[in-house]
Amino acid sequence: MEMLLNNLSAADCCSGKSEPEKKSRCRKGNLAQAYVPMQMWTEPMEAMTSLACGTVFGELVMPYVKGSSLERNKREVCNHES
Amino acid sequence: MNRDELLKSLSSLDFMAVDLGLYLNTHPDDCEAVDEYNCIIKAADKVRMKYEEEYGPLCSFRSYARDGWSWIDNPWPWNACFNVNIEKGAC
Repeated sequence: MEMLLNNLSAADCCSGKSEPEKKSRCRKGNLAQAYVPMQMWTEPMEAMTSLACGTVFGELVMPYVKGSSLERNKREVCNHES
Repeated sequence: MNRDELLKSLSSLDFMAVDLGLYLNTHPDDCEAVDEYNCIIKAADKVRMKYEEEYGPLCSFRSYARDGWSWIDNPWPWNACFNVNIEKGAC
């Protein structure tokens, strides 16, 4: 993975391209870096629920709601449960 | 279990196996997950055998041909009428 990322560095990406193209498409550095914490084992949900939710792990049930955010969804679910 | 119940059960167990497999790709040493995976595979095999004994082959190359070559009998697994609906809101 590290090698792959290195290969995608700005220098490699710009080689052989015209100046305007370099300016518009090639940037120095990364636009963003993602960090995803390592998942820990949790007991899987029941089989039919897993299929309907698209995951066996309850903590990964994160339905996309247009116009909403994951944080807000979580808050709403937590408030509803408590 | 009737045909739809068997099919639902098998679909959900196969899904669990796929998803647990994804987890295991990044956690290959998680013994608890391996046990759970094997448990699901065993349960899915049992349901698959039961389904195929009663309702015919689910696969053209992995299933036993119990009653002649019934694979060519309609409906086929990818036909809409073959499948069952997953209840919306079950999640």
